[in-house]
Amino acid sequence: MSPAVKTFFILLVLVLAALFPLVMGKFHTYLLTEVMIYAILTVSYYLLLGHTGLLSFGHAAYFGIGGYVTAFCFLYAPSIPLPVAFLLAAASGLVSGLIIGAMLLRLTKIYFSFATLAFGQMLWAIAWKWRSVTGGDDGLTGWSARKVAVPLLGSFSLGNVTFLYYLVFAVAIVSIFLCWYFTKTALGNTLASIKSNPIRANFLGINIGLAKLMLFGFTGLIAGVSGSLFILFKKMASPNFLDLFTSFDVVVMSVIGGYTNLLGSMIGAFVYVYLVEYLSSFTDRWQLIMGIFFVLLILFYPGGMAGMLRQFSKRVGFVKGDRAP
Amino acid sequence: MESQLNMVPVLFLHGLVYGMLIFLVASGLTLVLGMMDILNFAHASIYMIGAFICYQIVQWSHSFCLALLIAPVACAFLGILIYRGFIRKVHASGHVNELLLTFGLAMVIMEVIKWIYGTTPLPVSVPALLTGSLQLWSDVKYPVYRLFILLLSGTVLAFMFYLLKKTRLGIAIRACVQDGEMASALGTNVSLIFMTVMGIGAWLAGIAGVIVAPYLSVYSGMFADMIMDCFAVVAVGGLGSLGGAFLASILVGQIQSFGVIFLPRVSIVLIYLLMVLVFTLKPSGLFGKKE
Repeated sequence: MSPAVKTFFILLVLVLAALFPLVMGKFHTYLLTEVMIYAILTVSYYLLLGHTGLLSFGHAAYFGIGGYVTAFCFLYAPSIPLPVAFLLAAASGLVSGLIIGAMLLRLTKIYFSFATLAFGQMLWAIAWKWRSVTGGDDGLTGWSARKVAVPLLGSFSLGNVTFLYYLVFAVAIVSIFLCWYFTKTALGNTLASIKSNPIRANFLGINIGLAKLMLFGFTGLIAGVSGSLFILFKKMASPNFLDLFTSFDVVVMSVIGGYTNLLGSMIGAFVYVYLVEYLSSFTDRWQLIMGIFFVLLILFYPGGMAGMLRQFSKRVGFVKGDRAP
Repeated sequence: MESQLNMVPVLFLHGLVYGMLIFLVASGLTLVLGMMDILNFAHASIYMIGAFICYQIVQWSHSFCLALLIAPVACAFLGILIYRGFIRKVHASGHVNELLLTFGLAMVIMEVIKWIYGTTPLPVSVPALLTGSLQLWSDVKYPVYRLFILLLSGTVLAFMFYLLKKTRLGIAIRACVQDGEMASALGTNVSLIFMTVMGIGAWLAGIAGVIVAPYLSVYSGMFADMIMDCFAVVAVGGLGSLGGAFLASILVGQIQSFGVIFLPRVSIVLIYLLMVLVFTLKPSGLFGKKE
């Protein structure tokens, strides 16, 4: 696809997404808000798995931390304005990414996956048990719906579905663009080289540890942002947001969409949210269907839906020849 | 405090029983990990399936012995099927896909179990022969069934150690753990050994599943409870080290058993904390050898 066509498509999708709440009802606006929040999360995950080849089973940790920090701000310090709470959530994601990352630096392959799982579960256990601060099992909820003043447009309530949609939309554009830009920087190239051959990358004088540490910090930040949005969206914080199964959801979304490219991660979030919505409306066994779908994809289409799309567009002559992904 | 101190020997026994159970499952996991670099998420699912097959057989025939014979064998075949039908298919495309695949399989198995049996715990009655308690010393009584678990798992493990240390198959397995490529070059059929190890590992997990059924009852969350303990064992014990895994299992069992009584608020964090500490301070495991 030529750059012009690509730009055209990106603009088209953006315009459609911007017009979406005006055309479709509240229900779909609500769903698409969730899709975009998850898309931010999966794109940050793409940097780890797709771009650097690190399979993490604890990505929900940053998501949850960002969420809890936002909830703390709302509940314990209601005078903090929303943008500040938001920045605090991002910063906490960054810091926890750096701290956890620093401890994971030496680990590779499955040992890394293993350790991320342990970290995620540890944070979950803390959130679950530390009742006086996190509310334990019940989670945190019950802050008053906030009004946010937007320059030129007036003030809106966060309870307003359409407003929340546009808020998430704006944040999603910025964060996904940042993630894309991240892959194009020198650091991004360094990480890609670590994926293809860590030993050689090291020989070339690349400080693998430092590069990875910066990656962990950055993904933590983005995931923290999405966690913060998720709290606004769900109007509560719960230990479930940072447990094993949320981490697994991230993995499932990424694989369904195609974890080897950025577009796939977003498609994954979209397909997952809509699939869950529609499958669960007519069967209780939607998780089974999702699981089988997942296994079949890994077996036959490791590229996921994005891979299928690419193959299809190649077949109809939309994309010419074999281009390096 | 007096009563708590009195509990210590009993708690120790509880920990030992649970540690042995974990080891039955984790030994297969760690061998496969050491050999093939595959972290088999579905391994704990096999343990769960063992428990459910046991429940089903006891329902039909009311014979625990029959379950103890059949279920582990069925599990062994399932393990081999998972290896041949799935893992081997994606082996070439790297560890990420392998890990994702076993993870997906575990998910599917859990959902199928939920579908068939629901989510409420199902009781399996302790076989009549093994009910009641035994007076161990002065005022300490201990359920016979748990002693049976100790005895049985001890026997199985002794057999396993004999198999690994004294037989030709054991030598081949150890060679493959140490250096699969070299073993293959020297004429060992590595693929066959892999399959055998998968089978044996699944068989052990199946045994654990059967004997755990009357002890903890059978429920669809067994998988998640076991997998984290197993991972902790494999992490702490050093990857691919069976002796290390044994010590680690006992350690994890004791932490679970004492933690729940003495530190009820943080007991759940302890295991994860242990894992995280070992990973950050000594990634080769507490008892593992340096890579």
